[in-house]
Amino acid sequence: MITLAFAQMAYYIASGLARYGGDDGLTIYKRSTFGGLINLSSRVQFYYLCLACLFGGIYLIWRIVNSRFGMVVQGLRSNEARMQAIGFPASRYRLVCFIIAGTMCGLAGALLANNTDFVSPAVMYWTRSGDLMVMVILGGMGSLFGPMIGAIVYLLLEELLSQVTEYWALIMGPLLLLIVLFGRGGIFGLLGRLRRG
Amino acid sequence: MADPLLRVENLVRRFGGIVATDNVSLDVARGELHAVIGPNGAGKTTLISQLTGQLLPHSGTIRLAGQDITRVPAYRRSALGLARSFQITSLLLDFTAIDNVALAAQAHDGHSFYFWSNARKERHLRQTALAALDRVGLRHRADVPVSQLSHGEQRELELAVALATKPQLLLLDEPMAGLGSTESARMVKLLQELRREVTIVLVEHDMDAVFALADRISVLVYGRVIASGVPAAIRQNEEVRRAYLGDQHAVTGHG
Repeated sequence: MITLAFAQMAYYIASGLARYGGDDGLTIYKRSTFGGLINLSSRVQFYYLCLACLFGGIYLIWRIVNSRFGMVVQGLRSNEARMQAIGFPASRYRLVCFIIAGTMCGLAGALLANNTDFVSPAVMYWTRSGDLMVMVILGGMGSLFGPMIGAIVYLLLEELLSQVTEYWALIMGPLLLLIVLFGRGGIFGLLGRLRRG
Repeated sequence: MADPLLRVENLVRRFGGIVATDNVSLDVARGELHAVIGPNGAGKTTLISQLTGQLLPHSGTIRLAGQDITRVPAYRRSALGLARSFQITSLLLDFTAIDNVALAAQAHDGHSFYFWSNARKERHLRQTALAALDRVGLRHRADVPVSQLSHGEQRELELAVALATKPQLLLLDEPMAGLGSTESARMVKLLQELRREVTIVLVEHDMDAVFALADRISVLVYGRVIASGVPAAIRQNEEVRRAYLGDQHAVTGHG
């Protein structure tokens, strides 16, 4: 909740910065160059850079989840009092976890800006945070591939449904409710249960 | 035993107008098993929470081995050798038994800001965990997820987790709660062995267990210690009988 509040605050600050385009946003005339190593004007190179970031990110998180740090964070998710009682200073570990998550979001933001050649305060608006939460819930919270599946399904659904009707959110909403109510663990959880029979 | 391992002096904790811990003083000698009993709502769990640092007292002091720990945060008390079990089992349900115990061992093996190597492959953590599981007779269940353990096994695992932190003082909050009679008997036997290694403060409803185990008993009623002494003396104490043991049938019913 407090994260949402901070995002809103950042949104209003960014909207007020007339020098950087304010509400209208800012057009980016030049993509990142990486010292000439990668040419992002090439759609193919850009695509593979994103793909590499995705799998690199997933591999990194996979390592972290199973590391000492990851064990502590998983413990904190299910029971903070217990973790304090066995000797972990909870807030330090949580802070570092936020930093890691924030860094990854920052990378995603850099890629997004390069892709659209445009940034505006709208990406900080709470509905964008909402979209991300929907992706995570849809795919499956607390799993490695769940959020990725969730993002793919969400974007595909948005694309397909908006071709059928402009009120696509009317279909998406109830669908999400069904997942939350009956599909514990999202799509990823459902897949797991199907495989086990 | 001039210097007690745990010394609680004039501890007071209020919730609004209710005094849940009313000027409690308590000494626990090294090597002793000290039981705290009292009717429901006597403030036993409030007392334990203050000892572990989850709740701060309004006044009074808590000393562990002479060191004032009244305002020391919970995680640091654990490093000083204080361990607790929870009344309502609060293990990490999607972890296996050994994961739960290894995490406790990890907490006492330097910091945990390691992001790369697999914690489940750290042999000394696993070995410490296995030893603790062995101690409570759960070694054969090491790789079973906690959610699939029986209630009795979960209570034993609670103990293993506490033991893996190598405590000087073990605070047990109703370890027999919800156990059947055979399971209870096993737990009593287990505690009988553990008491030789570690000082224990036992909060318990099950009177048979308390009188079988305790070196000394403190009786808590309405947040006050009304009596403290060896089991035989507590059994004879008129005030205790009136406040508590007269009600014994209702009380042992929980066990």
